[in-house]
Amino acid sequence: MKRCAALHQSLRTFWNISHAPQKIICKSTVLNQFSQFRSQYSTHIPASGDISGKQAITEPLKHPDFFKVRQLVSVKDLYNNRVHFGHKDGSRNEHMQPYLFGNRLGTDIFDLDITIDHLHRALNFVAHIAYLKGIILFIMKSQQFGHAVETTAMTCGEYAHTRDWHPGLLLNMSEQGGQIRLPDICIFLSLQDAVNQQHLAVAECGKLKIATVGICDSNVNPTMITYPVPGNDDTSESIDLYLRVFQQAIQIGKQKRLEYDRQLQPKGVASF
Amino acid sequence: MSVAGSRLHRLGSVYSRTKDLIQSKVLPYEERPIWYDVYKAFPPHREPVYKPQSSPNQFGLVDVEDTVRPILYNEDWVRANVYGNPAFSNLNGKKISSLFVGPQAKNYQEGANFCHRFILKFEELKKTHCDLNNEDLFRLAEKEMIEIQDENQ
Repeated sequence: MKRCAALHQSLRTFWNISHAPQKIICKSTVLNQFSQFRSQYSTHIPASGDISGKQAITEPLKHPDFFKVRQLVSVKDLYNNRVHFGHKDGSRNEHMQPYLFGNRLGTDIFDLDITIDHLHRALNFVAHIAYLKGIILFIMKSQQFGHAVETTAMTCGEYAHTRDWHPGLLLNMSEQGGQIRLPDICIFLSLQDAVNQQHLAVAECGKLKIATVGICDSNVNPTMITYPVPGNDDTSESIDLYLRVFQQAIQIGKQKRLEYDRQLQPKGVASF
Repeated sequence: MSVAGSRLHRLGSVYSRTKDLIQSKVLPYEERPIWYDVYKAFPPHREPVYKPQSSPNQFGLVDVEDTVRPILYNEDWVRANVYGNPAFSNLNGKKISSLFVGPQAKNYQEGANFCHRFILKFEELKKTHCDLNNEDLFRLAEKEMIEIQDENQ
């Protein structure tokens, strides 16, 4: 009789699980995986007290090019991927003038020597943030490149926002409920939201102490972007180049961090 | 949100605002943003302080100095005459490009590279015929290009 009861109970639990609404199971499993993944990558390093953590932060900062991001992209790559094309001179923003090489028959041309320097700086910054386990958010309001941006963010374990930006999305923290962590930096692949309008997230990042990296075409205002990269943001080739390069920089940063964490761990303990 | 912050994003840069908050001890140094040390070690070329675009005057015009130079080459004169003005051509008012570009071109390669090949021919003739002026050189190059096309056909 005892056996029978146990069997009956186990059968009942099985029945419950298998007949539970499928949505709930999916959501919970996904959330579990998600939280596991984040626990690996996004825990803040204690800024004081832990000596090993401190050393991990300060050591790469002394090196001029710790992650070797300068090898990722050259001027020729930029030229072949049409980064030098700007907009027509009528739509030029006055603050983009120092980044321009000249004007060829009405079309602005970027100076790629300036662009490569800014891009290397931005890549170094992004790699450092990935090394420090910060959250990176890719932002681009575009129907054409939205999917590419989202897949790139997914492959390097970060986040993307490519849809309509609801005003105050980052600012209404109190209304969201629960524990929410804001992104540490935002990467803008295009600064334009609609036609001739700056992306709303630029101002929100400024309010919330979030540093920004942004691709600035010749018709946008680059002054509020922390690490601006002057370049074309309208062709698929150039966007592919930016995505590839940023993804590699993030992956290099994370890989270096994993290696460092493994060195610190005592032997015999499984790393998770 | 418990962390202190300034929501005036147009005054100063994101770095200077954070630095001031830390200096005035509103924001503890331990709770500084993750990018703060990286920014300190590798600062950007220009501090990201917001600058508005200069507003138009009463006539709707913006008074900004245009410092961007035009990009022009020596061979632009030839290029313009190949595609545009038929004044220097002796083909009864026809453009030289009309013989090569479009349905007349045998293949895409020929049409696409025609202007470039014409310029190369022009430069070649310029070295051998020093006494001729540009218009005569253009006619000579035109004649030779048509001859080459006839040979190929």
